[in-house]
Amino acid sequence: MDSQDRDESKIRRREEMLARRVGEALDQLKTDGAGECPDADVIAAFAEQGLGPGESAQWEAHFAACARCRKILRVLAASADTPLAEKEVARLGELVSTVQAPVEITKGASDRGRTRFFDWRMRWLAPALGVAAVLVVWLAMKPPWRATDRGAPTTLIAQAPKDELPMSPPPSEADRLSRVAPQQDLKTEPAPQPERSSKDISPLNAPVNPTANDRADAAAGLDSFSTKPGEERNSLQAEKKLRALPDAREAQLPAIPPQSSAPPKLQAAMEAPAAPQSKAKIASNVAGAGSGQAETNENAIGAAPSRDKQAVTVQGEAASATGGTVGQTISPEARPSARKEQALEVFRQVQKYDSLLKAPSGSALWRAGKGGIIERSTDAGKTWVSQMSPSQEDWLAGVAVSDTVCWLVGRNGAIARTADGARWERIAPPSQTVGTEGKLQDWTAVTARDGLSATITASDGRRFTTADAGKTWQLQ
Amino acid sequence: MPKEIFLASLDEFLAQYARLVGAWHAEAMGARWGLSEVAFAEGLRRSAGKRFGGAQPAPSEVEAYVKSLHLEDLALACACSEGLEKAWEFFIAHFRQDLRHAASAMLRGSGRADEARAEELADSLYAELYGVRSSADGRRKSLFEYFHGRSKLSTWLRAVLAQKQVDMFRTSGRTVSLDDEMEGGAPREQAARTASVPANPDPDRGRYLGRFDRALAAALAGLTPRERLIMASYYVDQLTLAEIGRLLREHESTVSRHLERLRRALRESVTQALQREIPACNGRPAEPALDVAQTELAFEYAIQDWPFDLSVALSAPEAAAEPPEE
Repeated sequence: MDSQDRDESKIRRREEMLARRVGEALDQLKTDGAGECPDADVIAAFAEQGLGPGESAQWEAHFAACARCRKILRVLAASADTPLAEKEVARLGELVSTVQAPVEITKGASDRGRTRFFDWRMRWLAPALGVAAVLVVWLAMKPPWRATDRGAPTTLIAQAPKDELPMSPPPSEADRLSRVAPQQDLKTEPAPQPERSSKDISPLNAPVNPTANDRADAAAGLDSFSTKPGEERNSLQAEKKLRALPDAREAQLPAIPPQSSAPPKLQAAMEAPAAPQSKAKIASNVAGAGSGQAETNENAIGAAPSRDKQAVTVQGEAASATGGTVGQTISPEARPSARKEQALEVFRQVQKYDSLLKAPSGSALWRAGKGGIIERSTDAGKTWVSQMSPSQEDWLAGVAVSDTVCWLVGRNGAIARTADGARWERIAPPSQTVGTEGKLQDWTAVTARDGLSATITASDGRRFTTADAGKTWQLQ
Repeated sequence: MPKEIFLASLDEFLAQYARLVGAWHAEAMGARWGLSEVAFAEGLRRSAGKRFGGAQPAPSEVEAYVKSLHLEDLALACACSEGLEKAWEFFIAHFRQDLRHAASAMLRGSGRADEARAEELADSLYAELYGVRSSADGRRKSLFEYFHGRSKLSTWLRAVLAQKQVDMFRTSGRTVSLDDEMEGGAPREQAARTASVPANPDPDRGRYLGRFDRALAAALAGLTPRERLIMASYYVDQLTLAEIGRLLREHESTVSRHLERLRRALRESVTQALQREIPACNGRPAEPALDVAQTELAFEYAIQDWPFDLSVALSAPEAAAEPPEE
């Protein structure tokens, strides 16, 4: 068996060395024989896979021998819309690596010396850690009633011990919260443990942020929603609101562990000044302006004017209680501002998807949002693949007609459609909506029957229909 | 026999496609910008002329080609090239942000992220896009004339920016290669090519290496252009699987499988060629097949010394595009 392994390893090494030598030989080739470099038109068409098979093969042969063109292609690819997931994973991967750095994910020239064979085999660890970090941060921020559904093994959210229940919100408020937090959890809540599983979390940590709920839904790939007319948010304002969000969220956490039970390290954090109520209101507005849930949140916040201190304690306690894994992401020693930044980042990611669209089959999903980002899942939301977006405007609404046909509409006249599930094409808006200064309407809703027929709604309420895939539009 | 058309002249193009040009113009919504059909036809003719070069394509080929184009983007580019105000307003409103975003991404990739620089790089295109008057005929030549609608306008703009960016690095006379500059890494390691010939060389060493050279050349001739591109991107440019996947619009796991298959195919092809007897040919004596131990030695010698010049096998793209069938 060992000798078999040795043989296998030897063969692998030989294959790798041979391929490396051939690659180096490719680099030393003179490009004279590769012909003249293509112009930007061909390079762009190649990047979009718009060339025919013969032409593609011709230029691929050129690119294989032309370092300049390969670099241009590389720069071109790098300047495309960076997939959110990758950004998210990289950022959170860095976050993890600053604590534990289990995997080197840098790709510098200094790596050249090491064997690439092992690189690609181990590279899966980087996104896996990133995803794990996303989950940990998300679990830390999400409301506990969701955690119960998930059954996650660890969470950042701490639980108020049973004997602290009297410190919970008054009955009327608890009634309101019970709409989302099953009452039986209260009864079955175990005694306080040094480490709490998500199942043990007190329902008094009721969810107060619909955006977080949406995120949970998005992650599960179960529901679909789109931004309704009037819900559109100015990105600058949203950014400002988001700045206020972590404080507000801390203020909203209603679980009230006794201050004496907090770890000593967190005493300083507990001394943090109370977050102004206005921030909480802003947060609730960001999470879902005008919704009844938001009002409930505001009420809940109003009923607990000084909970911000306790919320800080809750977070800090959770970080210390979960230790190990969680400590890698949000260490107990981390300053509140650092934790706030991390929470802010999570909410930023949430804000990036304004639309989660589900095809009738249920297996194909799209999510789209800020900056024109589009991602698609073909496995009911388990994995997401970034797609080339035809616009960098924010997508505000969409509709998935089938597993391959989907429409998106967004700010500043942005309309797009895919007919094959993979390639998105920009669709020109109705000419009536082009303003004199080039400013276009924001589209806030879209309905569609198929890849050809759709109705879009402008922010001013006007509706336009097309029956030819957006080539012409009629005002309704 | 379809009538051949001449793409060199606008009059002949219009004569051939007078009826279709109107439909194409309508499809491209050229009227939005006040673009005339003649100006749009000139854009189409230029595009087809570029695509087919000196060849004389059949009308059906030209029609199929035009249908494959991004006509709306082409109409916008033609209108901008003509200096039509509405088109420019739309272009600025829709593409300015894209351009800055792309420039910013490119500079970020080179480790020189700076909003001002990104803005400068993006805005540097505008003068060329608007065009400068030629000293010869006084006609304004816009960069938009080089957009032929084969890709989205936004992708073409990024490609133009990418070319500028890469060429700027290449002509700046830096001693640091673009790779190192872009990755912010140390100067690229050059594989030392010090042939380590042992004191008592194997008398068959030269024979083994000769056989290996021929076997490898045959194996490489069988690689498709895409396979060569993948190898060059991975082993030369040191791109990650994800980056190659993005370049070729394939999933990184597909690229990984490609690479694994390529490596295995190369080894197996060379091994089989070494272990096959070569019959006498053109006055050269027959060469016996190498046994397993000799094959092992041939691989060892080859990988250690690598005295091969693969330019013959690798620098003939047309040969690679149509690999010879064994």
